Amino acid sequence: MSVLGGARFAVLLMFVWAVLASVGTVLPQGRPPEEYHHLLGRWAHLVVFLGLDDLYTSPGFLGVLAFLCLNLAISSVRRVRRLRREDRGLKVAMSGEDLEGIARTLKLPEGLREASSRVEAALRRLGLSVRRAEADGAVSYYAERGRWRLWGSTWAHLGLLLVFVGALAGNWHGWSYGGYLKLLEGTTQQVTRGRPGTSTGLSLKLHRFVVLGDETGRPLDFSSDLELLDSEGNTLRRQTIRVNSPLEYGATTFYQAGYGLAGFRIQRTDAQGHVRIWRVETDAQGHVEPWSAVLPPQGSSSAFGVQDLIPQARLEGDLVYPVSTLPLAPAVAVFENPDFHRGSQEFHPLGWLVPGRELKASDGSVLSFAGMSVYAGIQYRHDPGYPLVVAGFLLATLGLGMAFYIAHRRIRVVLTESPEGTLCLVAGVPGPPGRDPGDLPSRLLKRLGQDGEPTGEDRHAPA
Amino acid sequence: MHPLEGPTFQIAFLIYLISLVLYGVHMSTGSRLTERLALAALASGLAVQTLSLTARGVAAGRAPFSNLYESLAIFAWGTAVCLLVVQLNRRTPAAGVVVLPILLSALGYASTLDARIEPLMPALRSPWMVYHVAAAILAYGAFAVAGGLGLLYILRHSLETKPTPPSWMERLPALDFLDRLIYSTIAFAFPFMVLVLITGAIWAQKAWGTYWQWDPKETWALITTLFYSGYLHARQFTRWRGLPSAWMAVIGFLVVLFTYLGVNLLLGGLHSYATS
Repeated sequence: MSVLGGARFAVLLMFVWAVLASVGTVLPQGRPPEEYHHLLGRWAHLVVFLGLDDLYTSPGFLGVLAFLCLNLAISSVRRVRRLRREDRGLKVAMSGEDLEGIARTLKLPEGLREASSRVEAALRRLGLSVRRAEADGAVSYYAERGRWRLWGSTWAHLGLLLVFVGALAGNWHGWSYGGYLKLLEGTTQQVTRGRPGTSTGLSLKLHRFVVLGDETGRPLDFSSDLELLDSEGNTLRRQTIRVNSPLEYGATTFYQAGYGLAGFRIQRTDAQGHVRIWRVETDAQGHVEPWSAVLPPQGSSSAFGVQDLIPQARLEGDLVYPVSTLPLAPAVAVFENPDFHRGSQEFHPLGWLVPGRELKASDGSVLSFAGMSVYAGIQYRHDPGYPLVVAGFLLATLGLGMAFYIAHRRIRVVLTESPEGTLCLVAGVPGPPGRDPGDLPSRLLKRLGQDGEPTGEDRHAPA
Repeated sequence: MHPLEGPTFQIAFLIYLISLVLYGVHMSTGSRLTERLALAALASGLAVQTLSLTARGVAAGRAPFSNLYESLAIFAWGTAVCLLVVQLNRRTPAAGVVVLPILLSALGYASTLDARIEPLMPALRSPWMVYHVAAAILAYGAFAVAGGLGLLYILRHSLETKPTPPSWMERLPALDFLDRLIYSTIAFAFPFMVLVLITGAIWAQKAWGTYWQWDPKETWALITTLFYSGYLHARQFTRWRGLPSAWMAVIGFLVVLFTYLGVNLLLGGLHSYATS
């Protein structure tokens, strides 16, 4: 137990974990084995065998993390026990001999009772919490401030443990779930969990989706006006969400993840002026499966097919470039088959169709864009570990603040009767080795010093 | 760009340079006056650079934390703040000679980059960015100072082992003093480094629905935190002092540099916007 919870073991684990984590930043992760063979040759087998191709979920990496958690838990329990033991076993009562030679000495003119009242008041005025004991005619004080410091590292360790437990709860199969919804304005979709999706009793309605860009077309903000409904259609919450500002309902959070082209309409106007609208839907990835959309001919006219789609594109001459700037302007590669009605399967490229551009087919018809629909991409995640993680972060932050920014200062005072009045012995108690015990003795003497001069050495008293 | 920003940036660079020269003169002559002038120059450079950053923030309408130019400028500012605090509290003029070149290199590199103010991408529009970067500035700045102090320790240690050490060695702080100062500087910075991870994780959770993605930048920030955590544990529980501790401070700062710049330039990932 002492090894598993020891600081040396912790340092070793941190070192191993850091080295492993660094490997994952250099070696590509989650790629197919062929890619590692191409990249590393015969070493690829070893990489895959050791799980370095998916390092962050490999048993070795998670094993080190598990040991680190164990170390945190054991060291925290041991530290709590030690602090409580020290606190219970603290000896307040001391004799003048205990501090002789290590304390500064002050002669106070008043009697022991009056002197002890004055010393206690002075200690309290220094902001110290004071413990008092009387034994063998001597009055002893143990006074301190910043005791919270001692609990700082324990709080920080427990906070980290809480974060790990919360993260585990948030990733535990069956407890957490998530998904991605592509919502069109005015539509409602069920929030489901697992595959096939079972209903969670929640559904989401998109009222309005807005994308704003700057003058160069770069997206600056996109937001969705969402309404969360229960299984009976009652409104649970309504909120406009955007990146960094999700909708939170219990342990379920809905994020503005993106947007894209849900589908488009192409208008075909034949030589006689008859208009026909052709609707094409995109797939889950926002693409159009080649040849999944074919506009069959009417009579002996041509058939048309879509072979490719670039959701955001810029047309220069006959060349199309994908862009990431607004406005959303798709480019669709349209193909024509004039002999479809004769059973031909051969489609010839007709050109890129973009908003504002017309394509003329060989049968005399004209194709043009007749509109498109944009979806708001809403990611949702049910994470029961979220409150634990946040609590862990808070605890760790508080603990670190206590451990590193609070000074723990201690002082011992022993008062004994003397022929001239009261003899006052004052000594600071050092913290961990090398840490300054502070200037409490000097400050106390300064407060009391109007009635006497310090005569001893300012050294340290036992804790 | 605000009309004040460019000139104040250059003036601040110049004043920091003067401070470095004055600290160098102090180290060779031991003149108390030059040390005071160097400290005054450092404080003035910091004041002028604060003006420059404020002007940029006013012009941009946000905290100037969004691209590599702004990040380098703010890193230099954070380093200057930490150096000034060390100088005022622990009077270590030699630290100026080793830390100011780091600060000037950051500003020099920033001056070669595109300083245009760009609007923030949606993911960066969050108050968490301010907390995240502010914590990083203080942590990285203090780690830079600790690294510089580590160098001083190694220098003094190697000079002391020579049969006839140079006379200026006496103007370097004592080894014990440096050792304690390195520790307290790292102990100051460490909680801020942990805050960088915490605020980044909360921000990522708000923006993308996940605390952690093992992105190279966040992984290296974790490695940096683990490194300094190892240092603090080793010092606390194994009484690890002296030369190894100084080397840890220097190596730690190299890890910080890789996390800060190397990852963006070499590994990419979610923080790759900070390379532009």
